Amino acid sequence: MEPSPDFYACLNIPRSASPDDIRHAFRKIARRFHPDVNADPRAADEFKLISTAHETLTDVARRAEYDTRLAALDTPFAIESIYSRKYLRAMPNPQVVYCLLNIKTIARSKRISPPLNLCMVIDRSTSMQGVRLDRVKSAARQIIDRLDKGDFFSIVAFSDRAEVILPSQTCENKMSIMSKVNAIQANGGTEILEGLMAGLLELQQNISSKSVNHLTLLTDGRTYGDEDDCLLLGVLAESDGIVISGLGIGDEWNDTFLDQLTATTGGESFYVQSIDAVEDLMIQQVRGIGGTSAQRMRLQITCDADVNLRSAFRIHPEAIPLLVEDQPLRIGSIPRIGTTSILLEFVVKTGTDSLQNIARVTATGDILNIGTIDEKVITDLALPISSISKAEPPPLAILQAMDKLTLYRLQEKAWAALETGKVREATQHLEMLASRLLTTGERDLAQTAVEAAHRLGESNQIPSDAKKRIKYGTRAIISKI
Amino acid sequence: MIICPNCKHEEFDGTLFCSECGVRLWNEALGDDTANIGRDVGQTDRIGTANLEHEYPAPPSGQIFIRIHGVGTSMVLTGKAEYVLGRKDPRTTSIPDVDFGPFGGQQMGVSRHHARLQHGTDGVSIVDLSSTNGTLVNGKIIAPNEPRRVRNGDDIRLGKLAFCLYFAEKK
Repeated sequence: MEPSPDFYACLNIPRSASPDDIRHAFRKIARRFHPDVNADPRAADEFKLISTAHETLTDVARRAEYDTRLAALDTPFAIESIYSRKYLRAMPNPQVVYCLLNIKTIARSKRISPPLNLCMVIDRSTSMQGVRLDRVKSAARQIIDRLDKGDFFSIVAFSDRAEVILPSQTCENKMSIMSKVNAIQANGGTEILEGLMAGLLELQQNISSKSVNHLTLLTDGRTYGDEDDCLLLGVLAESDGIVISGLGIGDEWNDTFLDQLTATTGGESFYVQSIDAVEDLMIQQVRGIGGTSAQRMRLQITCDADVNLRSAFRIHPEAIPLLVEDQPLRIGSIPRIGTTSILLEFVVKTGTDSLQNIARVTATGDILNIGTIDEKVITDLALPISSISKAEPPPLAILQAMDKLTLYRLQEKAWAALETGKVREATQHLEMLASRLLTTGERDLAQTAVEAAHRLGESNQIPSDAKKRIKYGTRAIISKI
Repeated sequence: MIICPNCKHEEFDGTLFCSECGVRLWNEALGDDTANIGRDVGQTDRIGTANLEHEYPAPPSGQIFIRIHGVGTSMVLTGKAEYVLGRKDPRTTSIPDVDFGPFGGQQMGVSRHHARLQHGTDGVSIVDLSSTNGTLVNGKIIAPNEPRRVRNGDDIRLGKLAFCLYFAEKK
């Protein structure tokens, strides 16, 4: 039996709790998650878990054995929760509460960078010919130059088919590896599935729960017909602890697809607007990967009865939208320095108790420098109910996050309206976005949004580069906080 | 329920930003986007807690509220008979009473001294100060340097920057 999750946290009791306390706590929590009262599909699992915790802790011998094992462990990471309000109001109508979860890994043992297991999957279709491929190759050379002795590195180039340019290996002979990079030539179409599959196979050669396993996909084009298979590969990669990130170069690539693919693993996609930026972006990314302290981080949010998780967004370190229908939420890697922040939006109908339980959050992740997998931390979200109607200002951290997130949401609304042919609505959303961007001081992006709105009004369509600029621009504002 | 003061979209109690138009439904400014006079007005708080579902309430007499479209920030003008509306220019020392610079005034064509609001005993009027892009009241351009009487709730445009004026009208 795994020592994790912490049974005391499951029952929300201190480790010194008496048998009576344990029984009392169990009854209280069982009422929240019993499948008869809670329709959340995850409630049954929560109920099973608290039953196991209850059985273990009420059996004297088993509890003693469990306590011994628990004492040898530290908390792998901590979750801090900040709410948009101090109280919920006692009222029959639904109300909204935002919760910012800050996840921090707790430094254990010495602070060493974990070994890397990286694969670069490079699009070498004809459109990459010239300066694009040259810059990407230059970035690859610089990355190779920075790798440490224990790091594994591989390169796959793909067009209609994939070719393993550099099988997964440590980079002792950097000169000979670089000459292989230099030999990459552009030719053919863009079949992302081929490249992805070959890249994941290379990563599998040296995969370990103590190393950061990361695939970077660079593309400037669209793949046709194999998107679903790519997404399936993404799901498999995530369960192996591999994060996929994507860099889209120019304006032809499919941002929706790249977002979906990277999201399956908790990774993010980037827009390389000017090819001049690609080297810095790639090097910065590898540096970020080196600072990872936990990976395969997932959040399971089990809502209480009459509570609904309306939206979720990762705010830090890079902004990515999370799909609430698709639990657990895949967060990907957690950096050693700084905080990983997730913003959750709940709609709550208050009950009759003075304390309103909102949800149970179970975070699961692999801790890199000790190589433990599936470490779990449980946090309950709850707020007191009050009849005081005087509202207090929300915490600055939430306001700032929501302020920026609102910009991103506005542009999402514009594209959604455009897709269903509601041009007027899309134009209005872009105009509102522009005026909000101005007040945020984002003049260039506001200008882009105004121009896009004009173009939309005149010709019923907008250039794809404007869409990408607005989408990735508003996303970048979020992680700037 | 909260009604968004900007677009009238309905939101659940506790919502911080309108999901439809992005306007802040909370009155506390973050401190970086308020104009250089006055303070933020608690308009959404008012609506949220008192459940006022009608039009924006008129402020106490002697005060003028300016609510910029699409921003959700209000300014209150009080204590003077005249207010110059414009945009602060870092190169000159003269500062208008209401600075639209932080709201994109320059891009939207607000002049440094664009218009003047006059709050007299008989009501409120606006005078265009020969601005580059003109002043519009309820969509109609007004002649420069001629006071034009305005009503509570009137829509004003300085160039492309639009806002509403609210004040208590004399019976």
